[in-house]
This record gives sequence, C-alpha cells and structure tokens, in this order.
Amino acid sequence: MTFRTKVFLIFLITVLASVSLVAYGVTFYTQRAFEQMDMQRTHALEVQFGKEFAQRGDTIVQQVENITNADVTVRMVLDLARPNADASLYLHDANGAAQSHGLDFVEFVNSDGTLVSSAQYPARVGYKNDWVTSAKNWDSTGAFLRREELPDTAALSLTAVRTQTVGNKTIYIIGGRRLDQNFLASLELPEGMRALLYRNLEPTFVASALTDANGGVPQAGEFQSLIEQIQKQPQDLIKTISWNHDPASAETFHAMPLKGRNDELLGVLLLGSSAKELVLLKREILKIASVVSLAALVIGLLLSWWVSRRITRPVVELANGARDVASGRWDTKIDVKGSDEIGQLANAFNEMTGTLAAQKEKLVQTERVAAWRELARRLAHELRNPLFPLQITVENLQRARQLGPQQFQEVFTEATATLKAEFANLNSIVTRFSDFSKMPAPEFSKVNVNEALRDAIRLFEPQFTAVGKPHIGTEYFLSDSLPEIDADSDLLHKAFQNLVLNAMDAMPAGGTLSLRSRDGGETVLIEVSDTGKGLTPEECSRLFTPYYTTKQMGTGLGLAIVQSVVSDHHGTISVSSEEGHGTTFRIELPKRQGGTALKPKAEAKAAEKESERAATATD
Amino acid sequence: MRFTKSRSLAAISAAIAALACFAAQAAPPRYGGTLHVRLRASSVSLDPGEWTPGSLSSAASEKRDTMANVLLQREAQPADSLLPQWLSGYAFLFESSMNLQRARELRAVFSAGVPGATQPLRLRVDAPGDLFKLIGERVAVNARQANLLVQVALPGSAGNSPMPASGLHLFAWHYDSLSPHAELEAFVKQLLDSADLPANSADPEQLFAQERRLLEERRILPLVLLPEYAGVRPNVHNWNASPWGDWRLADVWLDSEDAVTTKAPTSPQKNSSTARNPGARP
Repeated sequence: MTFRTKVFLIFLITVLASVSLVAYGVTFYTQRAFEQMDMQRTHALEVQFGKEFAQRGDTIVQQVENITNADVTVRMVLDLARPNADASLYLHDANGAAQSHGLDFVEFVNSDGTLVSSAQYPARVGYKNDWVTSAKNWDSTGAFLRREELPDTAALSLTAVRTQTVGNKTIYIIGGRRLDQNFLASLELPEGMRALLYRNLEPTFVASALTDANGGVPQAGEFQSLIEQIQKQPQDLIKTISWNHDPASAETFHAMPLKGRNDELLGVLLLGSSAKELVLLKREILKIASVVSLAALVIGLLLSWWVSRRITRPVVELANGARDVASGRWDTKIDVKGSDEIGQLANAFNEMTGTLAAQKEKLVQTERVAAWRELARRLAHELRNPLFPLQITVENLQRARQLGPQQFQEVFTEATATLKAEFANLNSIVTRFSDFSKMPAPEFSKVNVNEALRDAIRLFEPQFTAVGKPHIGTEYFLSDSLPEIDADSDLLHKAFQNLVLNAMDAMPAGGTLSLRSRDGGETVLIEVSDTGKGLTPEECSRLFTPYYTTKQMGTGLGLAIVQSVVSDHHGTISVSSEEGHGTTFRIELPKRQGGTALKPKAEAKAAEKESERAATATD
Repeated sequence: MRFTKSRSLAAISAAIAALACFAAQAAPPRYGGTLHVRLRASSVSLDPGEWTPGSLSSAASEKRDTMANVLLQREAQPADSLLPQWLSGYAFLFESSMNLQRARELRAVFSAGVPGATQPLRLRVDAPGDLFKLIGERVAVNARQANLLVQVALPGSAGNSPMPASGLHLFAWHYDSLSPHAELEAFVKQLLDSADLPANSADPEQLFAQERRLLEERRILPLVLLPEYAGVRPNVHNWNASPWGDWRLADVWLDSEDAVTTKAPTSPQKNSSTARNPGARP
C-alpha cells in the first residue's frame, strides 16, 4: 500500500468517523431527551391518574353519603330497628339508589352484616358481608379499590362505605363504581400514550381482564409475564413490548400495582408510551446522517485525494530520486519548493546526491588508478616469470660461446627450446589479457543449461581421473524439466569452464565437484560446488574483482570473466564459502532475454567468425 | 286492569304476564305450580343421589325461606314436595333434612372431573325474565356456600345453547289437574323418564311412597310453591277464583266499556290497589 493510499484512507476514515460520531451523538442525545420526555409524560399521567382516582373516590364518597342521608334510608333504618322487621321489603332499594345516584354498585347491609339489598347481586341477599362489620371507622374512610362479586363474574370497583345510625340501629351503605374502560377513557392522554388496566381478579393471568379505553386489548398475552411478575411481587415495573418486527411498533409500559384496603393486589395500571416517534426520528437522523456521510464520503474522497496528492508528491519525487540514485544517476536533483519538513528533506537529498556524485567521481578515479596499478602489478608479475628464464637462457648462450662446438650445439638447442617455451608462455599471458579486454557481446540463442554444464565437465574429465593426480569426483543434481534459456552458448560454456577450473584449483588434494540446476520460475538456478579449502569472507568479497587471485599462478581473470558473462546475460552470481568445507557459486539466469532478438546458433557462430576475420584483416 | 291472587299457587311465567294483559275471561284456568331444579346427568357415571343434587339441595334448603320470603316477596312458599299440600294432602309429611355442613361434606368427595368441582355446573333457566334469573342466581349462590360451582345460563344467551348433556335445569311445573296421581304421573313421565306409576297408585299412601322415592333419588329438587295471578279489566266485577283455580264465571258481571273508561284509568299500576308484582315492592 502506497503512502498516498495510506494518507487517503486515513483522511477518509477520519471524515467518516467524524460524521458517524456526530450522527451517533445526535442519536444518543435525542434518544435520551426522548426518554426523559417519556418519563415526564408517564409521571404526569401517573399524577393525572392519581388525581382522577381521588376525584372519582371523592365523588363516590359523596354519592354514598347522599344515599346514606336520604330520607328513605333513614326510614329504612328506623323500620329495621323494629322487632321482627321485614327486611324483604327493601330488596330492590339498592337498585333504585344505584340508578338514582349513578352508581354501579350499591348494597345495604344490616348491623349484623346481613345483606338487605344489593343492586348488583340481589341473589346474595340474606348472606353476610362480614368485611363491612369488621371495620369501625367507615365514615372517615375514603374510597378504595375492591373486588366486587357479581353473579357471573367479578369486577373491580372503586368503593366507599358509610353508616347510617338511628338510635341504636346502624346499617351500612356500600356504593361504588366499576373501574373499567370508561375510567380509562376519562384520562386525557398525550399523543403516543395509552393507559391499560388489568383487573387482577383471578389468581392467574387472564387476557380478557386487560382493557384499554376501547375495550379488550389485542395480543394481551404479551403482558402475561409482566403481570405475573407484579402478581408475585407488587411493585412498579417497566417493560418494552414489540408488537411486530418493526421497531416503531414497540411500546414501553410503566406498570403500577393497584392495591385494595388490605394491601391485596387488585389491579395493574399500565401506561404505555409508543416508541414510534423516537424510532421515526432516529430513522430520520440516520437518513440525514447517511446523506451527510455520503456527501462527506464524496467530498472526503476528493479532498483526501487532493490532500494526499499534495502531501505525497514531494515524497514521491524523493522516492523517484532515490530510485534514480539507486540506478546509478548519482547527480539526480529534486525540484521541491517550500521550507517545511518535506522541503528540508528534499534539500538534504539534493545535497546528499551532490556529495555522492562527487565522491563517486573520486572513487572512480581512485579505483581506476588502483586497477591500473593492479594490472601493472599483475602484468609485471606475469611477465617477470617468463622473462627470468629468458634472461638466464640468453646468458647461458653467451657463456656457451666459450665452449666447444658440440657443447655449444647442445646448449643452443636447449636454450632455443626454452626460449620458445617462454615466448609461448608470454604469448599465452598476452592472449588471456587480450581476451578479457575483448569480451564479445552475447549472441542469444536457445541453450540447454544442463547440456552446457555437462559439456564443461566433459572437457576436464580426463584430468579428474588422470593417473598420478588427485581424484576429483563429480555429482550431478540437474533438473530434467529445466527448459532451454536464452543465452550465448559459447560465453556460457566459457563461464562454466572457468568455474570448473576454479573448483579444480580449489581441490589440489582431490574432492567432489557438484553441479546443480533447478527451475526458479522466471529464472534458472545453477550451483557449482567444490569441497576444497574454502574462502575467507574478505576473499569472497573481492573474488570477482579483475586481476584479483588467491593462486600463485592465477591471472585473476577467471571469475571476472564469469561475472562478466553472467552480467551480460542479465543474471546474478553469488558465492558462499566456509573455510575448510568448500565453496559454492550460485548463478541465476533469466529464462528469457527481453528485447533481444535470438539468432540461430549456426548463424551466431558464422557471424562471430566473420567478425574475427574482419578484425584479423584490419590488424 | 287489576290483579288478583288466587289461593292456589301457580308458577310465575311469561304466560302469566300475558294473562295480565288480556281479559281474564279469555285465559284458561290455572291450578298452580312449583319451581324445581332438575338434574340432567345422562353422561355422569356417579350416583346422582350422592353428589350434585345432594350437595345442592343441602345447600339450598337453608335458604328456601329467603328465596320465598325475600326474593319472591312472600308471594311464594318453600316447597318440600313435588305436589303441593292442597293437591296431595300429604305434603306436610315431607321435611327437608338437609344442611350446609352435609353439603360441604358431599362436595368434598368430588373428584376434579365432576362438573361443579373445577368447571361450573350449568344451570339452564328456560323462562325469560329477571325473576327466574334471580332465582337461578340464588341457587348458584347457595351452591357456592357448599363450594359447588354453578353457572346460570339464560335463554338466548351464548351459554345456554346447546344444552349440555349434564347440568341443572330450573323449571316451573304447572299443575293442570286436580288429580295428584295424574300430576305425579305427568312428573314421572315428562321429567324423570321413569315408568308409569302402578295402576292402583291412586291410593294416597302409595302416592306418598312413590313421591318420597322420587325425592330420595334427588334428581329433582323442589324449591318454592308459586302463586298464580289473574288480571281482570276494571269493568269485570264479582270475579273470584276457587281455591283450586276454578273461575266462578256464574257470579261475574260486566260494566259497559264506556262507563269504565270514564270512571277509571286502565293503568294496572295505578288502578289496582291489590295488584302485586312479584319481586317488586308494593
């Protein structure tokens, strides 16, 4: 990943993260605001419910007191106070009182608790209502919740009890109103809220006992767990119910237990707040955030592209400059303006390349001088070896003039032979130097590397097994699937020859010469290993320097030729060695030489000979 | 129109209400009747004598007085027999020996599957009107004292049709005959699906034994004896029914319609000082 891409991505991520953070923050604070508003609304509804409850209670108390203080009730008390009073005469009085005072439930109870008249359940007349007689202070007691038994079912009522006493006779007047959907309908609910009432008149959850202002509640079973939890432990609870897969359908219900006089759970008020507004607002925020994010993405893309380009352009130029320097253009200069860190870096780079160019020039000159010196030394050394025998031979000939003809003839014959040999030696030295200086450009054709290796070995095999010489064994680890490569077969042959010669020289006491080849994908890998005495790291580092040799009789050109051939084939050569364990040369040659036309081998040879002839004619 | 109460007892029903709206001369004679609760237990394998009716009757017996005196405003009498005293002559020999404690004991041995134990026992009330409903609810309240669940099913209500194979049935029995044998035979035939009475059962002792046997089966529980009302228009004079319900039309005379119209309004509530609407205050 490029630096520009990284800068681009970082900038882009930063923009997106910022937008996302803002969107999240807005959503979070909106949700919290909604929740607070919801709590406030719920609380307000609780207060309203309490007020409505108290108001209704007061109304009921007032209505019951009106019944209690009515003349007909006083007359009833007087009548029932008589011995053997006929209570059956008042069977329907409660019904009349309920109708005239707008109450759902009215009962008259005798002082002993016997039910005299009941508007809602006349069949119970004659039975005892002990709960009424068990309490004493009814006249100071307000309305309370009560389970009202009815012929077919039970109801939840808001009930008040008052007493009417005339003389020693007291009767109890019980009046109440049904707590049902009409009560819920009287509550003024804010939009998005609703009130539900569960009448806890059965020991287990009954779906039909749940009602709202319109009657039955669909999917009332969803409330079962909440109601059962309150039935187990009456306390305020909050539960969110999702009516379907749409989050907007969710409602949060605040459940409050409603208790009777004896702290028994008689009902549960559920104040529901719809999450629709919040969900819709969140969706709106999400939609806006998406649009903003998209816009920010586009703007961020353009901006980050421009910024990254602006930031990375000098860096890219620096990288290109460094690449140029690496490729040999030491005098590369970068045109970067500005005095910021990048500008300073560019200036430093320009100074560095200037210094490098100057140093390179000095180094080249130094190396050139060193090379000439080395060449002179090597030439002197090479030439001195045959010159000394020549000088001795000539001196011997001069001294031989004093001898007799026969002896002179013998000396002369021997001297001329020596002179010939040494001149041949001189010629050989000069030829080698000449060859190196005239390394031809490679003529590429299809070459089988394995065959080239075998040809190189085949040339030296007699010497490996010659009697009286140390034995050198050969091992082949050649890949059969190795393809032909584009190479100059003669140059390659020459390189391999030099490597084999080098290996032979490295194993004066004999050893094993190993040849390896394998496919390296785009390249072919070749290894030539010996089991000789090995090289030091310092020797390894200078091994391919022309005219450098570790041998007494070497010219220092063998491995230089090898490196030259490999380099001309656009390959690489390396050496690894361990003292006492031999040396391995590794050559990696590309299979194909791009942009170079191949010549048939015969044609290449002919061209070479023609070139040589032309050169000879010129000489 | 005014209402008069005959000495005989008759069931209150829609027929009576209809009778009150038309001329008394056009109505057929009535001899009285009783209210009963009958057990329908065709699919129940328990001995009916030992379960619901026993428990129910035990629970109800203590409250028959309230039913007659309070709910029916003293217009009825507690009934211990199928045939009234005026018809059989031996009804005073029947005596309810039932109590609430016994009812609870009987209820305690119910298994969960018995109707009335966990599922309510349906009490079908055939006749329309609040009074029958009130009587039915009273039966249910009484049964509840013995922990017996009874649910009243009114005519036309969703819970009343179809009638289940087992349950209770509140019905009024009208005595159409002056013969106790004929009435008892009709009882047996129509309500108890039993065989005919023996041919010589006209003997009061045998009739008594037969009725006692029927009551001991406890498939039918007499509740109250009900009065029979007849409504007469204001222009009807000297109308009196015999204790047996016969109308003595020979003594009756009529005013002209015009005179009656000018003399008095036709509203039964205002015109009849003796009118009694059962279950309502005077």
